[in-house]
Amino acid sequence: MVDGLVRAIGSGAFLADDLAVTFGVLFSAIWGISALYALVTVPSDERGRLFAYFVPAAVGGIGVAFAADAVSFYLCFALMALPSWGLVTHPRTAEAHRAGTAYLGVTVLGEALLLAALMLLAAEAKSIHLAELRGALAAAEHAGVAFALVVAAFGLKLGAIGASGALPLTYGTAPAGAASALAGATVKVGVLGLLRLLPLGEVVPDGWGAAVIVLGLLTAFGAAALGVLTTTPKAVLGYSSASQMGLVLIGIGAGLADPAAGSWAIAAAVAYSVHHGLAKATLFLGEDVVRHATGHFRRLALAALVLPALALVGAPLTSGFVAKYALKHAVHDAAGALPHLAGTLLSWAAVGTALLMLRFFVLLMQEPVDQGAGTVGGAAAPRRAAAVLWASMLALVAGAAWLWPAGWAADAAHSAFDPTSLFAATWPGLVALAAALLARRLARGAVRLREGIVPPGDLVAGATRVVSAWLAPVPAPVIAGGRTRATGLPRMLLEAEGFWTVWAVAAGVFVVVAVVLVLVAA
Amino acid sequence: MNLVAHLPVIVIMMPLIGASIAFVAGPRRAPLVTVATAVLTIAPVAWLGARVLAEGPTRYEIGGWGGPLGIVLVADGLSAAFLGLVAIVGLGVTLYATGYYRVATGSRPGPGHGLYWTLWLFMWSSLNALLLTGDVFNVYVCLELVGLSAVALVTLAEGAEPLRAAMRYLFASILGAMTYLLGVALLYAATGVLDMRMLADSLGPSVAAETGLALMVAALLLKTALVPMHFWLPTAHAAAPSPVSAALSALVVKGSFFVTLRLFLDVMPAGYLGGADVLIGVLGAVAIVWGSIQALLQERIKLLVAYSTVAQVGYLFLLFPLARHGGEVLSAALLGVLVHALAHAFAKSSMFLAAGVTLKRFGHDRIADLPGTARRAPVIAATFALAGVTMMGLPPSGGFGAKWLIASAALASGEWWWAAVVLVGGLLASAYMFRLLAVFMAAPGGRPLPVGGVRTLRTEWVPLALAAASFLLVLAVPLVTRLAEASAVVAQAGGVVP
Amino acid sequence: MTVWLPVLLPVLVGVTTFLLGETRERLRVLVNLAGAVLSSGVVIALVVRAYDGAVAGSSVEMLPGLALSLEADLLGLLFSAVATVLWAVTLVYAFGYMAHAENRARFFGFFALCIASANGVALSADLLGLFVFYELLTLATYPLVVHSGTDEALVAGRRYLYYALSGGAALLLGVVWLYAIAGTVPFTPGGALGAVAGRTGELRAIFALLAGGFGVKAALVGLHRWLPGAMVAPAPVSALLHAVAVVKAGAFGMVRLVNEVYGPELATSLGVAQPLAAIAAITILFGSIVALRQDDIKRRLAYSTIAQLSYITLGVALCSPLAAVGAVAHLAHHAVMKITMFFSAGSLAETHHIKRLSALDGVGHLMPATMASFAAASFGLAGIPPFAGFFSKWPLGAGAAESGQVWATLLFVTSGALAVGYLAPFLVRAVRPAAAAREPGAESDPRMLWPIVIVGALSLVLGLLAGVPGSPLDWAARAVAPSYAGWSPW
Repeated sequence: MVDGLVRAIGSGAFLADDLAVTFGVLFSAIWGISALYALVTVPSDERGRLFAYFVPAAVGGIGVAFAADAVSFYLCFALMALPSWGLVTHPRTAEAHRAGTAYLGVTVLGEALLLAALMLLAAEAKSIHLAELRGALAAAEHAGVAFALVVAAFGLKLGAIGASGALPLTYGTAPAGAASALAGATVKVGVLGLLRLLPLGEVVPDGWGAAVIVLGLLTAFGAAALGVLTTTPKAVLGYSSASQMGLVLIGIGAGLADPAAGSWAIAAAVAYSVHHGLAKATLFLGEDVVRHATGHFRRLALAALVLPALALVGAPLTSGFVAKYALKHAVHDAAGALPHLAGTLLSWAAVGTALLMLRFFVLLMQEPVDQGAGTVGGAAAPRRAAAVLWASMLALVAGAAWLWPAGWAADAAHSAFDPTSLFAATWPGLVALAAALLARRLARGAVRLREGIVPPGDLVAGATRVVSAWLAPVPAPVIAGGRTRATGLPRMLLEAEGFWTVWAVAAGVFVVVAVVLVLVAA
Repeated sequence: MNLVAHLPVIVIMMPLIGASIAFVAGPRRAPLVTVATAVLTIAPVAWLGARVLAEGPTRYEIGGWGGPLGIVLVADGLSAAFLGLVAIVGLGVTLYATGYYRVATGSRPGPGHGLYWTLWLFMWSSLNALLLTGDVFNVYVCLELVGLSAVALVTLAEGAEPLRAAMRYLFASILGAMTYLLGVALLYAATGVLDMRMLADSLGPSVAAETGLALMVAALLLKTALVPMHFWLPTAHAAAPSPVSAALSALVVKGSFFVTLRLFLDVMPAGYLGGADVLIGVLGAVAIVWGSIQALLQERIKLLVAYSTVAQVGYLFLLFPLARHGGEVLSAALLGVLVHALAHAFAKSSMFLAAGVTLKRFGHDRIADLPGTARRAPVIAATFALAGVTMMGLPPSGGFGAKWLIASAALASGEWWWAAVVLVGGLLASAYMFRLLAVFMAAPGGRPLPVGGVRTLRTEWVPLALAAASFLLVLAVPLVTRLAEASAVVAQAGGVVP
Repeated sequence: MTVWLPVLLPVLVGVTTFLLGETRERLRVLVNLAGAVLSSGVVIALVVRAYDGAVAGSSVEMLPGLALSLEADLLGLLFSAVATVLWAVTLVYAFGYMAHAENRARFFGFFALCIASANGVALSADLLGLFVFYELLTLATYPLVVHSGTDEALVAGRRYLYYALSGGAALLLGVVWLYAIAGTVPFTPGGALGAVAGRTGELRAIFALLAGGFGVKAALVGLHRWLPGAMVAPAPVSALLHAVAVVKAGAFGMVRLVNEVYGPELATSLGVAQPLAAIAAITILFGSIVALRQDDIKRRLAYSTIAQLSYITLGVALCSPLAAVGAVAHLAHHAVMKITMFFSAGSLAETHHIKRLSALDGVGHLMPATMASFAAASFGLAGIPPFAGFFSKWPLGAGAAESGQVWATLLFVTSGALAVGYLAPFLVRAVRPAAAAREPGAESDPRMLWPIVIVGALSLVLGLLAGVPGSPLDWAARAVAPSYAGWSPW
């Protein structure tokens, strides 16, 4: 058999199919605006240090969309993920350092899993082209292992349950311009990876779809629950990302569970990526803008932030509504009890999202004004530029609902004014509002707690602490040299030799040997 | 007169004549005479070797008297190889001694200076005779001559310790010689012949002959210092003046081993002494381990080197259990042992000579007090390193060739444990050699070592040359192989492998 | 005869260096550099010929019926080229590093002899020759390990010898035994023991002896203890010998043993490859995990070496062609990456007296070029594309998967993650602000800096060019393919 692997892996390959273009444009937009935002907000003496990491991360983060083979994909993935460590640790505080360590741990684990998955699939497909890897997955000899590796690798990136804590942890310390890129773009690479490697719309072994759906449900609800219990706006946004990615997982799971749902599953995943990427990036930038603003402008900014928040909840006429539309289609098209259960639960997931957004606003309003750099109210020039950039992001979010194929978008728009779906889209928000008010009444003051029930980063942070403690370097053993005078066994051996060489003994020994020889001989 | 026919006699007479001239010439001119003799002796030895290679084993009857009464000399590949060894190492030792004694005594001849040359050449001559003699009684005579001159040489060193060592040596020598003579008497009573070739023809199952041969072998083992009969060797070899130590360790022990070889391979039919050959092999194995361990524990270089001889001699005796198998195993083992004997002789003489330089330069040879030698006396360190490689049996040294051949013979015979012994011995040798070399490499302590003005070409470069010879001996293996093939045993066994 | 030159030229250099003595510095530099460049040229010429399919060979009889044979096949040349070319680079570094050291003649002399031995190991055409040079390598390395002459060095040297010589003894026994049952065994791709394949018991024992012998230098777990200690040697020694020549000799021996003495098929059917793979796997985990906790920079790197060497052993022991290609490519890739790291460690120690990881804070600003090179090598070692290490790890993992040994694939990626774990602290600390103000220092002596930059860049370049004919990957593929009948990398 001719094996192309050796020859092929030396050459990278990129392509521009629909998926690549969609994600490429999305990533470029988010990385681009984030970069500009970082440029205008980060003090000039720190810019060099930040952009030394930012630029490679952005190149990798955008390039990954166009990667056509396993090596290019992995290369771009690593190029994006590893330098991002520098974004997370940018503030150079102990907290940032810990967050960076946790980020690095999760990232490296994810990359290892991804590499293993790619290797397995490449060996199976005798090729490294992603399309062929995807084709080889379902029928692979170790299909189950490969599938688990793929889901685990990208699940880590998406903040699936268990790893959800990584997202709030990393966004918590990165500068706003970097956090928006991390939250808006790099997380979506997980979605892209799943779409590139999972054969949606094809027949796959039983249970795969169910597994992904269950993972998605756990993530959607679990991350929402964790997020509500945290105490900083950025952490809430981080958990919200994880929760939203849980929804994407549900869609992909539906696509796996039933080939018929494949195309809608892909559509949903793409739609969610675009919608959530833009909205979340906007929220992160907005959080920064609000924190640096005072007075009227602060109120204005807070009001403007409602738009992306509503989009996330899936309010009609927002991009979130369109995304959810596709997701519902996917879930409904898939046959089976679990997808249907998931379909029922989707609206409740929206309740979770709405609660998170409320929590975010509550916390954000409590945030003190950051006096560090010039505030917008004080009319410092860079902050104005920042506000302009943020406004352009907002515009993108607003326009995102209309980016989709005409027929599809019209369909979605039409359904938006259908009373049933209108109700379906709005009741979760209302329920969340009611719950929040109730909680406020019942547990007054609890939201003000700075130390939440959930430590920032939950499992991830705990694991990082344990591992870091074990990794504390131990010094090399000190080697003592030299040799003392013979004692013990050596002494005994020397004395034995001394006895041996006494004349009488020696003569006796000789006689014995001679006699034995004679006896043996004769 | 046909000179070629008389070559064996010339080989023996040359050093003897040299000894007489040196005695007469007096201490001042004796070194020159000895060097000349050493150089001149090489020619007939080489010629003899060439003849053996060309025409096979030759037999020479002195005065035309044949056996059983006349004196018969036999030159075959084995004796030629050992003669060559004695000639080359002898030359080295002689050159070294000229420097050594000049250094030792300054301008005035000191004690031991004058007698050394005569005794040394006399011993050389006796050794050559031992290697050439064709009957078992003359072996006794030669053994006595070699032994007595060796004892006398040991006493040349000053002090009480050498004297005690010499007495012990003398005791062993006499004990061995008497036992050997007793054995010869029994053998003669049983067979009526002393000529080795005739013995080989007439040996039959006879208790007297077997007992006699067993006694002779026992005596030879004593003289070769096979453990546990090595009590005399370390002290004597360590106490003697360095050129003497070198000759004793490198050459004299090989003489008695050579005779053992002759008895087992050429005189006795296979298995004649029952399990004696295996017993000897076992003792050889014990010697390798015991000698090495003792070497590892010694605190003086010369004692270390002497115990190393005890260990290395053990390898020689691994031949006998392997020889039982005959055929290829025998020829490989014999070649291996031969190579080992040569390699060891070169290495051991170089180490003793270098130890002598160490003593002269630093005033002592206590290992622990010699850090930094590699820097102060790089030539000495290099000598020990190169010779050490041979001791350890690492490639490409002669020691490696020997170990390879012995181990292959053992594995081919199915008795793999001999191969294991060989390897363990190599490891132990590395342990004791590197113990020494590590000290040489160590950073010198704060204390400066006394540096005497003794750095002459002869005293340092001669041992290095000998060590280099042992290191590169593998290159000479083809020649040794041809010599081995020119001996009767190997010819019978069907040539050397493979 | 050309095939002898890579061995003889360094010997000549070594002997000349000894004879020149301590004081003739300029001449020593000249002789060594000229020798290294010339040897590299010869090796490259041999490579070009071997790529064309012409294999040069030559033999000299050593013992009756036993010849010392050299053969310039692609596999051997890969190792030889790595050792020789990096020798030239290391020399430049060493001239800077050893500028104020004592006993330089001895140092450079033995250094050259080491390279000669390594080339002998590489180019030997059969087990006997391999053994001979393997032992010589042990001997030539010892004086370098104990170079400083301190107690610590002597203890380390003694341990090194005990391990190496015991391994050598096992190897000798194995070789003699094999020769006793099978005669001379020239390295034959795919195996040379077809005729005696029935003697399974003996062949298993011999395999164990040979693998044990090579395992010492390849630092398999249990036989590895000499390696961290041997790090007391001067940095160029750690760099070239304990990352390239000496340890790779063991790993290279494994490749020869599995691929060209037993052959993958026989090794699998005898059931000897699997235990070897298991031991190598344990070694990888062991080395990586222990490395995680070392504070001493060189020790950390040494444990990393232990783990990385077993990539090679595991790669061939998996008996999958692609994995074997990865293993052989890793021989070169790891050499380039690890030498960069040891050079950097040496520069840190020599220029700024930094020997511990915990003292590394802020060093990135002090020595940007050095630490950038170190970073390139680290990324490579962690298997991140496009650095060289990825292009050996990929075939290793994919090869393991291809032969159905998924556990090995997972092991390789786990080890990659652990490599990040033990290497990231270097980089993290280097870019962290220094706790205390550092004395104004700068990069080290240019003679040390440039070699670092060059090998650091090579870690990247070898990766970028992995698909080009003549790259280590391509080279390894050509060298390994004959061992697997019917398999072609193209």
